[in-house]
Amino acid sequence: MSDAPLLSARGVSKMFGQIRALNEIDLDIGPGVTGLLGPNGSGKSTLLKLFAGQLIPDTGEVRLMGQDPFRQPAALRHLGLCPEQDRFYEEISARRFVTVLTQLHGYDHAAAQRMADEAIARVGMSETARRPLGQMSRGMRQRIKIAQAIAHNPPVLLLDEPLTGADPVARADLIDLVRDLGREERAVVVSSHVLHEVEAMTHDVIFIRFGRLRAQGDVLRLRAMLADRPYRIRLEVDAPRQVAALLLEAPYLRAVTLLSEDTLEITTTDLEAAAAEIPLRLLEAGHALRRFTSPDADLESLYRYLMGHPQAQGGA
Amino acid sequence: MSARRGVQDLIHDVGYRGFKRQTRDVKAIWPIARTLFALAWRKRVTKLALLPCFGIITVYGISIVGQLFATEHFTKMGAMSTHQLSQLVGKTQEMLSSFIRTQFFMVALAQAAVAAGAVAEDRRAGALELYFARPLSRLDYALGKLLGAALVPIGALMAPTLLFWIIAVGVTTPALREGLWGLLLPAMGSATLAALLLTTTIVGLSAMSTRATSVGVVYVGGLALLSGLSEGLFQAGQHWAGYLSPERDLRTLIDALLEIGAPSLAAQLIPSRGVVNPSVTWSLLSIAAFIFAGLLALAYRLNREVIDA
Repeated sequence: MSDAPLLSARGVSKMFGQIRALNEIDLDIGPGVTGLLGPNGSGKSTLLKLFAGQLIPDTGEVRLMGQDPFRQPAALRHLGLCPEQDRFYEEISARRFVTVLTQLHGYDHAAAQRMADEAIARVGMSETARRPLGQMSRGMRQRIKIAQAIAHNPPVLLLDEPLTGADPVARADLIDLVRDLGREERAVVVSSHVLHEVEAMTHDVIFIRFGRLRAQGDVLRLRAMLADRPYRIRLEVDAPRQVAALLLEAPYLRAVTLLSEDTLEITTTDLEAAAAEIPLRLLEAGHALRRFTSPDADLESLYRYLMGHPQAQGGA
Repeated sequence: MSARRGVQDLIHDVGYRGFKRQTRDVKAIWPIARTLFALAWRKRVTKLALLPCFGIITVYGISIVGQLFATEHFTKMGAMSTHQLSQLVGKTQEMLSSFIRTQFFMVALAQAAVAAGAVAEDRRAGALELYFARPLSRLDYALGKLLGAALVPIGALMAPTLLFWIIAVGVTTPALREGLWGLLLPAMGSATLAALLLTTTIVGLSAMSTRATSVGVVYVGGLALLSGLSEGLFQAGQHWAGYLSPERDLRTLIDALLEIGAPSLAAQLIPSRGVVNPSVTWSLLSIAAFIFAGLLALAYRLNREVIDA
């Protein structure tokens, strides 16, 4: 596969009346799973609709496999869309639903049905595929929506809240499926409110807020770029005071706080060095290190730092 | 072609090559049409609404065949002149004309059940997002929906009209057959116009709403209201009002196309007959306006869907 991005946006802005939904967005998305994160109304859905050819940008250009998805509908053969919308034709069976939508990509009925069966099997719904959509749970319909998106084997997938309504087992299965799809050299863009689920799928994320691109890249590398936000590390040790005294000399250390009788929190600007050296130093000094965690080196803390809102307030 | 020694050919052919013609993908239109009909077929009201259509087809089929056999029988007996005979048992074109007029109402009812949700249901369910995430233009979508909605008028109006003509030509005597050849085009033209009118108006109305039931009620109610209003105003001397009713306009055109001359005594007993508009041209323009309005509503909605998405 060439290095050209499967999805790209250059200087893309989109207005709805007086509201600027997207503002000068520049980004490239290549193979693999990419999480699209941002609060409600940040412009995520608008961006997905632009990539899906359902909106025209006011300025700039959007490309799907190098083609304009709005003006060249043929480009949409390369796209699979799993929309957030959950209510479709309630009366027809899941199998027929996926078959009809696959036929719209230009396949004859027999080929579309075969592809639909394969996709339904892949999402684990073969047993219940003949049931009408109206008789399915939300989680089951979620799987069917993903099946219709992947049935024609597209290189680009846009999944809007793909795990909504799924039970824990289904969520785990769907997370595995999304990761597998990403490993197949497809560009899989997942827009989700649930940060830990996105984190389970990928470390590549795009943050959007107020229609502007806040950050794009690997979670850990983005976190490392926030130099003004040192990492906190929690150590559960046998003698916190002695350990604190021992670590104070370390050059990467910014502060040490005693949290409890066995827990110590240190602040560092170099997580990598701290993670490499602290266990060794404690071992050499004969201290027992029971737990080493960093509460703000994950996606949720990165989201909090970049977006200014905790997850609980507005969701992603 | 011979290659010169020591010279590597770089250009192997020079000429013009025609661009590949962009053809519309029929495969994509048919699934849309079929899904529309399949969804409607699952509703009991659709089957109930189609029953009277088939009832009318049966009654008129028997009537046309009976009429032809009666004509043939009395002709052989030589009891009456041709004119007297046609006055008594009626003419085939009158039966075809009556069938199209009567079936128009029945098909309108069936259309309300089958096609009221054509676009409205897609809008309500958010299916447009899925349709337009596929290599499908708005025109493909519109053609698919129109084809799906046209299946009822094609099956219950156009196909029986053709069938009746074929039966009439098949069962009648060579002498009477002569008069039937020229009926095909006017009969099929009338049926096609009725089908177009019914299809475009219901799909256009469906595009303006998100509730199929409301569309169906407004459609049938609107047709009845326009017919009643138009008839009432016409009788009160407001002749322009005759053109407000699509049914009346269609009746005018059918009469002009199929019933040349005075109606037979038998035809005057047919209840679906009625007063027609003074001008065939204005009736045709009025029908064209209804068809255009339906298509315009559909185009407007599909265009808005891009902006509103």
